Amino acid sequence: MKQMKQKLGLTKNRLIGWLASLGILVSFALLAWIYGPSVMVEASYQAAKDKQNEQQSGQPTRGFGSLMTSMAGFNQLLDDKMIEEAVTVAQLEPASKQFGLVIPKIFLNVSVIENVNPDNKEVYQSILKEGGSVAHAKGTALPGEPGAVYIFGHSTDASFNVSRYNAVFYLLRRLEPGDEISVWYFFKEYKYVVTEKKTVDADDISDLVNVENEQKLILQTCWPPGTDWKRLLIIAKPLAV
Amino acid sequence: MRLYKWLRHHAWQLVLLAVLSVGVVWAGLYLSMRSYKLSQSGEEVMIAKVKASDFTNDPVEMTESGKVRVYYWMPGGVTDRNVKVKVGSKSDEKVMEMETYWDTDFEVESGDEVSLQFFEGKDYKTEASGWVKPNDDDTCGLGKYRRQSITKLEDILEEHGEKVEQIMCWTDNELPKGLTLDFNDFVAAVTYTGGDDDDGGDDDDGGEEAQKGSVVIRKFRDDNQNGMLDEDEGATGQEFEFKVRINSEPEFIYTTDSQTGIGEELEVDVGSKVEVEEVEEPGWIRTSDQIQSRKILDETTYVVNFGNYRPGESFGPQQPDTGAPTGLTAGALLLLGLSILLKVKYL
Repeated sequence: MKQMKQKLGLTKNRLIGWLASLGILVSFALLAWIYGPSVMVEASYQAAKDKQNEQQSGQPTRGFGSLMTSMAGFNQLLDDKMIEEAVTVAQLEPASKQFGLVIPKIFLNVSVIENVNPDNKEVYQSILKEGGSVAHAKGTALPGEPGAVYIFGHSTDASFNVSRYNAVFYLLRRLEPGDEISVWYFFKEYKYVVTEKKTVDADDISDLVNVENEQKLILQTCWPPGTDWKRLLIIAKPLAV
Repeated sequence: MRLYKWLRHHAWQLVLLAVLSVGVVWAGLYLSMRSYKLSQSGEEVMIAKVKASDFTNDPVEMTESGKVRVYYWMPGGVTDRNVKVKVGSKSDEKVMEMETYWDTDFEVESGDEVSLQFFEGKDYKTEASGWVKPNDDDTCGLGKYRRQSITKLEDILEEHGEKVEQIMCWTDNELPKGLTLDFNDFVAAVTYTGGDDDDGGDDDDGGEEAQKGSVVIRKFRDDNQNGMLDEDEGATGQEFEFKVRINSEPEFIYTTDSQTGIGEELEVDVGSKVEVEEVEEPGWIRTSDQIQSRKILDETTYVVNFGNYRPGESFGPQQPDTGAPTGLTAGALLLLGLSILLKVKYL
């Protein structure tokens, strides 16, 4: 055994060194896996912004998104058509007029699944996984009704990537007071304007329980990205016509 | 200088590690992003995967004689659809607005079959996909995906007093996604004309001593938000106020009890119209119409139910969790940090 170790040149230090290398590679792989969707959404957003700037100024812009779209492998995932659509579609046709959410600033255009029980993780993850979208929490108001319309982000319960896909709402962090949000519900558009952005503890449901009947929209995602530690809330009020 | 020497000495190992790291990050990101993209579906929300055989789509066999009435209903909806009704070899069609019914000209006998088809989209050329029967718990949908309640429509039908032959949960056309249907889009019902329609009974007072009926208003906590008072639902625990108007008399305030949910019994003449408007209470959401009216047709007590729930009460102790487990991310970062430290020390 000793001879074999000597033959392979395996000393204790070298073994620890190799294990450390392995640790570095494994952790990189894990982090890349966890943050992949967020990186993709960020790259799509940046590329769409580049495209928008290019359309407005006539000057080609090369940023992080454009870089990603030109990288081997990723260019198939972030193709030009998709970016083009992100720029135009977000401002034109909602993904669903039955219940859809459109936020032009972050090129977000998704359908919303209605009445999803927010208290049953198994149910909402299953529905969100199949719906591939975002969910309206059962028990909260619907657009046009008094009270808070609460919409939370996409996730999945695939065995190897539990709760990884909250990326649809990853860009919520870019919203600021004054930004506009459109919610389509049963073919009617409800416009909201962001009034508040805040981070709260996961068990802080004060914005939802025993609130006044004032109409508002709450968009929720986990914060910081890649964790389920806190909740980022975007609170918007109906836009006065 | 020492660092330079150290770097030079371990250069090949560091280069190898860097190349491997870049490769791993690249591959990890690619696989992660690809699987993410694949997980995203298209435009319409899929609720249940079904086979073509899951559709009912059979004609409705009528059990009585009479004229056919068709209901087209979706709460809060605004989409008109063209409905084609077929009885035997005859058919007729009409563009219907949401929450309306159509009294067709079809006279049917017991045993006749009636089939419906809805058309939507531009010029009403797109056929709706099909329908299934409602579930036993009065919802539309399949399996665990049961979400649209039909109790409000049942309520309307019961109020009209018609014989209902079939309630149908329809799904619209969801192409190009194919069979990812939800049966949740709209509801139709096949009944007969001539039930106790809204206007029935607004005649004959007769000039004799006025007959008296009565009205009671009840406020209940509508836990399942279906707009109906269910067996396990009770009072809200607080008083609610209502504006009540009987015929054209001035309105007055009516208060329901916090514990029983009901208020005093109001005696009214038969033939009167009672209009009740709920005064909104902060923190409560209505599940019934804010204004309801009843025509007092006989000497019985009419109960006007108003349901409410508190928003957010279906939330558990915390807001839904849609992120990766913090422990996983923290673990990966910790492993990275520790590995780098060990690598530097034992390189």
